[in-house]
Amino acid sequence: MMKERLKSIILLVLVCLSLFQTYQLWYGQQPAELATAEDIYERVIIEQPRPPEQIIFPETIVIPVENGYYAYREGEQIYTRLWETLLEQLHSSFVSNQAGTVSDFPEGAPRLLSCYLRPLLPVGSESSLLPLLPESELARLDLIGGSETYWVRLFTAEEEVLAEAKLTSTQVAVLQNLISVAKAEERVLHNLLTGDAAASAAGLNVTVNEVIFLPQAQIDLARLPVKPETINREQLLKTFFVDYSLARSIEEKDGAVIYTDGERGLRLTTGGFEFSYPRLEEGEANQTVAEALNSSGALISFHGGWPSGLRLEIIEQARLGRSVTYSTQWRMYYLGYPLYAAKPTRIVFNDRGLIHFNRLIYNLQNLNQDLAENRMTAGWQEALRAALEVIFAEASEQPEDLKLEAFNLGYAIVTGGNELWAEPVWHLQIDGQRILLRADNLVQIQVEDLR
Amino acid sequence: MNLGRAKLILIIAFAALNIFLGYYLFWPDFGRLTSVAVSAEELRLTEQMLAENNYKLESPINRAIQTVDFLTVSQSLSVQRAVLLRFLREGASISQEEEANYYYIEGETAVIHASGLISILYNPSVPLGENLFNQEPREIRNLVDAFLVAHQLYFDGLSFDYLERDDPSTIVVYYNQIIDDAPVFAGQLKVIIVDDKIQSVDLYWLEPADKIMAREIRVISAAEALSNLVYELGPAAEQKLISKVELGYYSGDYDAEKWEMPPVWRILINGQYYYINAFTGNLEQEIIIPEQLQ
Repeated sequence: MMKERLKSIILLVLVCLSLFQTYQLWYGQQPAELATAEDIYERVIIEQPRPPEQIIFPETIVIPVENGYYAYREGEQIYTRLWETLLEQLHSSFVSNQAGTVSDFPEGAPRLLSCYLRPLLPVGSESSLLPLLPESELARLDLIGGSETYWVRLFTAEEEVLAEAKLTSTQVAVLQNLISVAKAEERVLHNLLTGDAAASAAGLNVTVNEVIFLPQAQIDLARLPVKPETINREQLLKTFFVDYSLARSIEEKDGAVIYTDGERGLRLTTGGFEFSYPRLEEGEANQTVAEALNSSGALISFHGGWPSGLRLEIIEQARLGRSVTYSTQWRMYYLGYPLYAAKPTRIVFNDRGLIHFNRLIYNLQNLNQDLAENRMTAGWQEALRAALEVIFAEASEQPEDLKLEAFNLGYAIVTGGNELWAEPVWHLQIDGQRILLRADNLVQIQVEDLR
Repeated sequence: MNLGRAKLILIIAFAALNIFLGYYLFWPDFGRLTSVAVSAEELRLTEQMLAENNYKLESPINRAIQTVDFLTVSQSLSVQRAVLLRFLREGASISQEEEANYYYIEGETAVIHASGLISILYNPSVPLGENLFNQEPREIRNLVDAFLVAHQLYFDGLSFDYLERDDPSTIVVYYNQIIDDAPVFAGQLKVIIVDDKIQSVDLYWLEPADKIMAREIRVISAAEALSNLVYELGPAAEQKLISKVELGYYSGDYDAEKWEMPPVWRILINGQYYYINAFTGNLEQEIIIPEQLQ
């Protein structure tokens, strides 16, 4: 009797086990050919890529007022609102039915606002913003008009009119309101720098090729504590290596860690990263500028995301032997002022993929503002003279002509004690030479001292 | 048929069914115990592919399935200390320079590089034997072994690798370091003999660290490594002989805190060594870290 009961129990266990194993075989395992990459590798989504018009922003938006201009730049709320509103109006004006020129354009009417785009924004069939315009690049947008009627006029880099459109009354109302909000902010007036003004301050011939707006008066800028952005190392590794468990690590003595699979390498520091894949260097870059912008934006999104205040400064194609690449350079802005770090955030890629990526982004948001130390900036004339002294000290003979390529206030990332600081600086680029001067005492900050 | 016999038959039937199901469920793990990484058919196909590209496999290859981890290492301070102690005991004078420190005793100079490389230079050179260039490798090796033991340079884990005869007067003897029963192919100890005299010994000794067994990954088979190498090198103009295929670790020398070495298949073709990463299958180049990052 006992033996029969034992047999029944064993039989029951075996039946249950066979049912369980059958279930496991049937449902529990996925055939290899049906398993997709998503099942094997965790999907990494950091942020959605952006269209070109959300990658290229104006270098400066200016509103002419009596005795000068109000200037607005990346990192300011009103700048973002102005640009986003203008984008909306542009899209509806030029996509609907008014592309081309308008017959009743009021030549000589006052300019209400101008946007200076650097780099230039591609327009034409590949542009989602202005697809009906001929293939070209937008360098400037002017808003022109009187009290009730506004026109938008678009210019190329050669100052040729690309297109113009008359705005509807609703659009006029929106822009009127926004411009009055922008004007209501208390701001320092700016002047458009001319060659004569620069030559008068410098005491020698100065050519000004770029559009440079400089403050008429001294500005109170704070020296601010700064921190590098926080990088999720594991997530980042997943974006660079298909299977990062196959990448070896090398811990350097300065605390940096290099990951490499023998072909590509990723160096992670406390403040950023540098990626390199030299094997892809020999290749073509047949993408259009719009496509390259998309690729570059996607790379920024994918490898670390878009921090607020990041602006594209340069996009260029380079050819070296059999290697053709696109290179994009990005810079962080804080309340309208660019941040100058040891290395710019830079991406080099071609049709074969990403070749080099240096990302070093500092964050001034949400930091303890009690530590801020105010600095009264020197005037631009003194800054220009101090920069020329630096150039003269290094040059064997005093140059007669100088080309001023960039001149603005910004922040240099430097160390002070054990902390990182954003130090207010005058930034000048003269004949290709970049000079940073402390904004208050105009003492030069060497590029090697940047962090 | 009584109920008891029926139950017995059902027990046997269900036991067999469970064994059958279990075998298919756990097949990969069973398979690892019973199967090989390179089957006889795969070996035949590999040899055929090699022949088509003008290569001939002369060495047996390891056909077992192997799982390994990266080997994490750091520069060996204990070996550096042992070398320096000998110099200091003999009253070495010291000079420090930016890239290296120099320790001088009579007839020897130890150069300690920042990368961890130790070079011991003999001046005058130390005679090792006569007419070495025409001697068998084993005889040269025995002489060098004896020299290393006498000069307290025969460290635990040292293993003879190969020797090269560069020109009619120069012989270079290479030793590996064995870590966790696997060779490290990075020229851990190199003895340079010129005109039958030892001129210098280069020592780059490592210490293992942080072994995590759970991270072990299956390496590619030797046949796959050979295929990848031939793909990288392309067909040979004249027949080339593959005389050695072995698994070990390989890495450059870094001035780093610690680093991971990948397992590699080292393949000797006509006197030249090639390293195929045993995880990725890529040909390991001299520069492991892209130049921009160095």
